[in-house]
Amino acid sequence: MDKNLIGGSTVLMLLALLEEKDCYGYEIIKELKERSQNVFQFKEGTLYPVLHRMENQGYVKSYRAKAESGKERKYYRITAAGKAQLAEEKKQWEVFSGSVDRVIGARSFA
Amino acid sequence: MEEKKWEDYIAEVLSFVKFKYDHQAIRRELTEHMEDLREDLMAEGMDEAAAAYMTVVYMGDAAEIGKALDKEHGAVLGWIWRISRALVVLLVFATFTPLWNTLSSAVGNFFESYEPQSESAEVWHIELDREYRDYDYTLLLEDLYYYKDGTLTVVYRTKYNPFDKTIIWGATMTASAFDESGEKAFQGGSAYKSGGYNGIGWNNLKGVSQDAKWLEIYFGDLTVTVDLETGEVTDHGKT
Repeated sequence: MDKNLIGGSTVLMLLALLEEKDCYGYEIIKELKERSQNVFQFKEGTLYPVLHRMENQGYVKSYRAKAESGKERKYYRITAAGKAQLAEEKKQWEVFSGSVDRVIGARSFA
Repeated sequence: MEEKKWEDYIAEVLSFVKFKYDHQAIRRELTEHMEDLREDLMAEGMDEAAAAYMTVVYMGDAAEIGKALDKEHGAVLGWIWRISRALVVLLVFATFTPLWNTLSSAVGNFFESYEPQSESAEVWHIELDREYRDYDYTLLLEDLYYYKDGTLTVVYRTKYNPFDKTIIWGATMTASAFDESGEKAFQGGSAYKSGGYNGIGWNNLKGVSQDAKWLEIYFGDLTVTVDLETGEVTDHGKT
């Protein structure tokens, strides 16, 4: 599954991840690959426009800090506005996936 | 060779980002990502050249990323951000500079203390310990020292509320010593006063004779008289 990170449910996934811990870009990609069991094969560079947009919208803040490797990386941290947005998007996702389930379910019973 | 490819790749991404001031930060973030990715690919067994090549492939289309980044790094927003940040810095600077000056001059002289104004031995010392107030201005007459060479020194402090913006009362202190007949019993003088809101100062009378009977200290409309034999302090006048 080839996935462009610009658009779709990316913001929801990123906010959910950042709610757990502050991450830098490459860390986010690794986490998403692992959690999706490599189903998501990203065009990794497309992550950054999304992160920068989220920063413009005030959902995340960035800062530079040393990673575990000792190298400095640009970290992203979720803000209060980002947490509110996450709750909103989760709700929308549940409505959406619920609808999809019902459509699929209806078809399988047909 | 591979370095060149990375450079070209990032340069292509940046060629779509019109707001040049953000180029450096974007270049840094992308380069760091690519370094991490290459490292992981090599850890999986790829040789360096292949890993560097695959890194560019995994990053994705430079034009697509560059165009998307350009939307988030718009020149208008960028300039508003830069200008407002500069204004904030200026504002902070303008607000805190006078405050800093005030605080440093209020505190700065607080620990300054009197240093003997004569090389010769101290003959006597009178503790004046008098405080005079005029609104927010406080004058503390502290000590009187007399030295063997005829130097008589009045040591005082002034305090002024630094946050009171009314006119600072700029009175200066002068002093005279007199003998029994009321004639001046000194030959000259010098003075020192540290500035600011919390200052220390001293007036030195030179060539004060052993026979001097009293000292008069003038400060604005105030006259403080010190009997040099008994150490008795009397004052008259305002403040």
